[in-house]
Amino acid sequence: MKAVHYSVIQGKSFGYILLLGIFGAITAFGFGAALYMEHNGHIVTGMNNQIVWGLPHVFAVFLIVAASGALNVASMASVFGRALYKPLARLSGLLAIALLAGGLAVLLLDLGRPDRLIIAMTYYNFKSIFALNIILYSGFFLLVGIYLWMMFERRMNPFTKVAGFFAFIWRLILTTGTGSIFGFLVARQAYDAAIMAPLFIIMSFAFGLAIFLLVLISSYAWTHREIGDAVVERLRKLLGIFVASVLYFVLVYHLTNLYVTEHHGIERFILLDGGIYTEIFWMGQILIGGLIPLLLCLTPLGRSRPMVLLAAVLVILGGLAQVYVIIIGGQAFPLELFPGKGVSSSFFDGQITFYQPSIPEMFLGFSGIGITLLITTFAIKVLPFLPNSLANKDVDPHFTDQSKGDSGPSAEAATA
Amino acid sequence: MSIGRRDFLKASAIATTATAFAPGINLIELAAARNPEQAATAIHRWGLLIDVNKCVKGCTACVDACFIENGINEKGSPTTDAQWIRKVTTKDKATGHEQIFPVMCQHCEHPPCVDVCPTGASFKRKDGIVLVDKHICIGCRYCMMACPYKARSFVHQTLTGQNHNAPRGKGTVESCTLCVHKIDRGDGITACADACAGENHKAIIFGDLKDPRSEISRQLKAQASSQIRADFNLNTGVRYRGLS
Amino acid sequence: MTHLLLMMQRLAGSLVAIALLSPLVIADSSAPKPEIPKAAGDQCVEDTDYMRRNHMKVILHQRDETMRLGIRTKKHSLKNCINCHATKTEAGKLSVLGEKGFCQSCHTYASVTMDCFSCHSSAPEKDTDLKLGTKRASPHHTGLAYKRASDLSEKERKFLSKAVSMNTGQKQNSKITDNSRSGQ
Repeated sequence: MKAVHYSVIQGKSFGYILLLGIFGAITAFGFGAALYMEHNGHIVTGMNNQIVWGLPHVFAVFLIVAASGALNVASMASVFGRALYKPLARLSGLLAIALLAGGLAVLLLDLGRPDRLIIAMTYYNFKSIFALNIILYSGFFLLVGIYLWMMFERRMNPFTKVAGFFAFIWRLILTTGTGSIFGFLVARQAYDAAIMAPLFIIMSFAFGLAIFLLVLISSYAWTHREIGDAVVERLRKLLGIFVASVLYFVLVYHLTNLYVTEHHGIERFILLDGGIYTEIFWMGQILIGGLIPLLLCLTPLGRSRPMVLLAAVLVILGGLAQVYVIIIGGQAFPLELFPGKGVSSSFFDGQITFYQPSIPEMFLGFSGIGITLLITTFAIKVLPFLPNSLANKDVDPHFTDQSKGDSGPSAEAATA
Repeated sequence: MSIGRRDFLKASAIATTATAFAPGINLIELAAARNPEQAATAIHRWGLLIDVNKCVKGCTACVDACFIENGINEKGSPTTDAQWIRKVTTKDKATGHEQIFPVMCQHCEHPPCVDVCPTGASFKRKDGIVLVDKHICIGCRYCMMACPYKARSFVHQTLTGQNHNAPRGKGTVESCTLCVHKIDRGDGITACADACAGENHKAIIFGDLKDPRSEISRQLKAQASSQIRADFNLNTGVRYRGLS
Repeated sequence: MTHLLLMMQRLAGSLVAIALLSPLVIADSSAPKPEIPKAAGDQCVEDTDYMRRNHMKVILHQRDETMRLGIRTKKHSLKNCINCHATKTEAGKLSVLGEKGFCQSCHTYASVTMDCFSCHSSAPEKDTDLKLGTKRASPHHTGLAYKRASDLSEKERKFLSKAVSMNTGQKQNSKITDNSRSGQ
C-alpha cells in the first residue's frame, strides 16, 4: 500500500465561509434558546413532570451514541488491521470527538441548573450510571485525543495500534454506559431490559457510520478531492449490515417484551395504538431508517453517490426517530403503580401524556448538530485530517469494479 | 460534599456510646425530640401508615395541608406544577371496585432516585427520610425517570415567597420531605397526618417504624399492610392498609 | 552577578507588592464603599472581621450539617443571619436583599453571585413562623414517644428507658427492615 498524504483544506472559498456561517448560526440559536430556557425555567419547553426528558435529550443521546460509532472506522484500521480504512482513521477520530462535544453540550445546556456544571464535575455518586458516564465521556475525549496524536505524529505512529485498541474498548464501555442509562430504570416498562446496552452499541455502529459517510462524501465533493468506489462501496455495504443488525436487535427487543405479559401494555402502545409514537416507530424508525436504507445499501439500487448519501441521511433520520420513540414514547406510557388497576389522579397517573416540543427545545437540539459540524469544518482546515485522494488506485490497487458495465464517475476518475 | 466520613462516624459514635454508657437518661432523649445539635440517627426510621378504608372521597385535607406547610403555590399549569402528595383513585379492571388514597414519596430503604443521582443530591438520611439536597442538584431529572412512584416534581419556573422551612427553587427536583423540619423540631407528626387527624379521618399515621411501641409499629404488627409495587423490593417507609 | 540577580528579585518583588496593594489604596481613597446596614443586636455570632472573610464557609458548613445530618443549631444557620440582618427595603418589606440590603449591597459591590435566595426566603421569620407551622400540630397526636424528655413524668421516664434499652440492646427494632425484604 502506498503512503497516504494528508493535507488541510484551503477554506477560503465563499462556500466554506457560508458553511461556517450556517453552522455557527445554528449553534448560536441553540445557545440563545438555552439562555431563554434557563431564564424562564423549563416551563417554556414542552417538557413537564410527566415527560421529564424531551427533544434536547433525543438529540443529545443520538449524538453521543453516534460519537462512539463514528470511531468505528478508525478502529477497523488500527485494531482489526484493515488497510482500506487506514486513510479514513483521522476523520473518524475527529468526528467522534465533535459528535460527543455536540451531544454533551446539548445535555448540559438542558440541565435545570446549567450554571452548576462545576458541581457535576466535583460531586460524584459512583453508583449512578450518569456519574459514571461523565467519567466515560471525559476519558473518551482524552483517549481519542491521544489516538489522533499517535496518528498525526510520525514518531508516534508505532503506538497507533495500542492507542486505537484502548479507544475501541473505551467506546464499547461508553455506549454500554449510555444504553444503561435507560436499561437500569426498572420502574419504566419500556426501558427495563438488559438488551438496551447492546442495542445502543449496534445503533451507534449504524448512526456513526451514516454520519461519517455523509461528512466524508460531501467534504470530498466540495473540496474537489477524489474518492473512489473502493471506499464508498465498502462503507455502503457495511452500513447495510449495521442497519440490518439494528433491525434484528429491535425485533428481539420487542419479541422478548411481547412474550412477557407484564409488558403487553407498552408493546401495544408502541406497536399498535400509541398514535404519534406508533407512527414514528413504523414510518420513521422501521421504514425510513431501516427498510429503505437496507435496500439502498445491500442492493445495486444504491450504487450511485446520491443514493449512498440518501441512505446515510435516512439512517440518521431513522436514528433520531428511534431515539425519540425510546425516550419520549417510553415516558409517555404511564408508570404502572398498581398493576391490573385503572388509575387516575390530578398528577396524570395512568394517563398517556401529551408532549409537544417547543421552539427553544428544537433550537437547542439542532445546535448539537451545529456544534459537531462547526468543529469538524474548522478542524479540517487547521489540521490535515483528509487524505489528498481516496481514489481507487490510491487506497486499493487491486480494486476491481465488480459491475464492469456501469462506469460511474469515480471509475472514470480513477483511470484519468 | 464537605461532611466527611469522620463527621458521620462521630455522629454515630456519639449515638452508640450514648446507648452503651448511659442507657437510662440518653435513651429517653433519643426516643423524644432530638436536640438541635444532635444528628439524625438510624435508631429511628420514620414512616407513614395509610389506611385506605378510612380515606374519604373528595377530602383533600392532607394535600392542602402539605401545600400550605411547604409553600407549594404554583397554579395554572397542571402538567408542570409541583405535587408532593396527590390523591389517587384506582379501579379494579375486573370488578370495578374503587379505592382512593394519597400517594407521596414512599421513602424507600433502597431508593432508586438515590442510586441514579449523579451528584449525590438525592440522598437518604440516617433516619430513613429521602431528600433532595437542592444545593447540589443540577436538575438532570434522572431521579424522576427512576422513581417508580412518580413522586417527584421539577420546579419549572422562578418561585417567590417560599416558606422558611421549605426552601425550593427553579431548576431543581423536589418531593415529599416527610416534613423533615417538623420531625427535627420534635412535632412528631407530618402536616398531612395532622390534617387528616384534624378532619377526624385518621387515615394517616406517622411514626417510628423501628420503635415497636410506636402507634404505627403496633398497628402494622396487628393488621395486614402492603407496599405499593412491593415486587421492586424497595422496602418503602410508607405502608398501606386495605389496599386491594 | 549574584548581586544583580538579587536586586532584580527584590525589584520584581516590590513591583508585585505595589501591584497587589494599589487597588486597596485606591479603594481606600476614592472608590465608593458599599453601604452595609447595621444589624439588630450588638454582636454577630462570630467576630465581624472573621465573618467578612469566612461567612460563606460558615454557612456552607452549616448547610451540609443541616441538610445531611439534620443538625439544626441556630448559631450559624442562614435563618439566624437573616433574622438579625434583614432591613426594610424600599417596598417596606424586611429582607437581606434589595439595593441596600445587607447581603445584596455588598455582593453587588464585590460582584459575587449569591445562590441562596432563589430557594431560601430572604425575609426574617415572623413570630408565627417560629411557632409550629400548622395550627393543629401537637405532640399529643402520636403519644408519649414524642414528648420532650423534660416533659415526661417519672413513670413515663422509667417505662420508656426500659422499652428503648430493650430494643436497642437486641436489635428487635429492626424487624420491619429485615423481614419485609425477605418475607414479602
